[in-house]
Amino acid sequence: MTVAPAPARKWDPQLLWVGIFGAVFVVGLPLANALGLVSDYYLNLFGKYLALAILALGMDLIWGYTGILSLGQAIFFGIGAYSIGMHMLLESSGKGVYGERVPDFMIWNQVYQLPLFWKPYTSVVVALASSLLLPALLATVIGFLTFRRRLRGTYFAILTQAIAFAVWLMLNRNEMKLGGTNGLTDFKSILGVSLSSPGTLRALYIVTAGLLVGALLASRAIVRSKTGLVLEAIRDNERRLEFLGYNTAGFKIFVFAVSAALAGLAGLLYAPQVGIITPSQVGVLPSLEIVIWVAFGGRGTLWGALVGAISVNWLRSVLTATYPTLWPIILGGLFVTVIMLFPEGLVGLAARAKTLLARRRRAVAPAAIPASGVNRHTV
Amino acid sequence: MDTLLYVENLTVSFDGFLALRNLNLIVERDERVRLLIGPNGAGKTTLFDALTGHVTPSAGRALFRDTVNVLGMSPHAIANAGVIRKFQTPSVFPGHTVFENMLLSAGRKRFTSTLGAGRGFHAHDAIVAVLDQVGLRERAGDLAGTLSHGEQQWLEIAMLLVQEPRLLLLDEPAAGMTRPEKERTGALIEAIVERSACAVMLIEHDMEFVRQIARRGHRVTVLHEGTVLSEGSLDRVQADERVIKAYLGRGKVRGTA
Repeated sequence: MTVAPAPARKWDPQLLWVGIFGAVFVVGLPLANALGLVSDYYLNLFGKYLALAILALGMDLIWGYTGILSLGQAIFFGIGAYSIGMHMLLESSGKGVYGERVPDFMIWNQVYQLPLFWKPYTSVVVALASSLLLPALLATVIGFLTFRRRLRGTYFAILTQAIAFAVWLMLNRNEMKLGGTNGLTDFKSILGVSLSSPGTLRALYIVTAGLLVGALLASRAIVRSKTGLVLEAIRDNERRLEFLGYNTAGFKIFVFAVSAALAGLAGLLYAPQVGIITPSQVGVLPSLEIVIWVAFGGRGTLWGALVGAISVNWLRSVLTATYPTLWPIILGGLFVTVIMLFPEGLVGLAARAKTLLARRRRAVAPAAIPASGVNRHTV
Repeated sequence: MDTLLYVENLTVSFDGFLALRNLNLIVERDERVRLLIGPNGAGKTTLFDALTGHVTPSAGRALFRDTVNVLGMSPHAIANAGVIRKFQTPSVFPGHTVFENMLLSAGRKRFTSTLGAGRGFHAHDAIVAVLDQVGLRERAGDLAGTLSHGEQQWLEIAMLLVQEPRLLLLDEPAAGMTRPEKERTGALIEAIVERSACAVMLIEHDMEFVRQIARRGHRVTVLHEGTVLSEGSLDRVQADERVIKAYLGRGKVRGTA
């Protein structure tokens, strides 16, 4: 293998897989639904999984690639979901059970005037900006305060966990005027179209699938740039990297902000499709669950995040229906099994099977190994 | 003043233990190689730590090229100023290829300039040239973790060279190497100072290796208990009574102290 300055490859075969993924989920599934092959229920379910896959992508960028365990991802998800939830409730203002201008849950708490911080959410632009930019901004502030002070490893995990716990406690209180333990629900319409019509849900599904492909491409661009190389090096040996002249704090703040924005986007897409957002989805436990999805699928590979999020959530839907009490035990067992038996996750397992097959095939007919200076890079 | 490195009254204290005490050291600009020797615990590595922002000294100052006070600067800022350091043990990124290791070391380190840059195999003449110099060009596509100990040391030196340092701090670059590897490392260091404007400061325990380098007339500084004990040509410091005394009980200066 020599370092001949090879021409930059124009076509990347990995993009083919992104194309196939896009074709199946953005076009194929809704088409099958329109033809009556896939029920509205399943399409909606997949819409939820794909939204959660965006959340997993963000976790993979910060934890899988950069090695920073953030247990605050569910907060960012919650900001996205609550922002759009507030907007949807205001959109159907006056259509509640009591016919009041404020959402029904406020009436239960004797709140008859719309709180000041709710008012901007009448605008869909504010709601969208609050879903995407507020998480990124919050992550930047947290990152600025921690990474620049060299707060690392476990300390960062504990800090984000504490913040997640505090947010969860706050959201549970009725005084927050965000629905308390019941959260926000009873959404009627989004952008003027009814949420109860199958057409709206199908459109929401397509938007979700499309944005997931967009998030995948954006994440791919990051991890395949030199920034991606630096992020992996932060994971492997941050100290060493500093002596190479890198100010690692900037990179970490960036990836934290991106992961937070992705989590916000996931929440934004999740709430209208599922129809409810409660504090139970915005705490330490849901943050930990995201870690499990990514570990199960294969951390440090973007496909791993997608596969993990979709498969574990699908499994959860199946198992909670049949064995509701056993589900947490199965989830825990799954995590332990993955860590012990195949730490590289499903994607790693598939890659290992592929090399084994290739080796067997090579034993029959020796073929040239393609020369490449780049690490076995997985998107 | 026209010095490359000017260290004055440098003191480093670890919970009261003085690892460096009022250390003074001057490296001239035209000086290409400076050797640092001394018994274990003399403070050689601590001096490198202080110069690269790894530990915070309690007193003193260290001027690089007369103007840059490296004390109090962060490690990455010192590296960007041109003072680059190699650790005692090879610390390459084992999970990445030799080329990727080089790519991390080369080029601009600011976040904004890395975002647009690819990580693939493009025409990186500087990287190829340096890999050639250390003899690792053929291994560019291999994972750094698969290199031998000696090769990893050379890769690390290559990673430093591609940053175009002005002062290279090498901490025992030949430790654990075989004799041919040591000779090659010595030749490599000579080639570095001949071909570039970079000066080398070198910590070494292996007296055979010290002699190999010092016979070209480079100066040797002997540290002992956190301060400079003697300085001059190798013959001079070896004849110094204080040096012989300091090494007593630890093997002679001529041995592999």
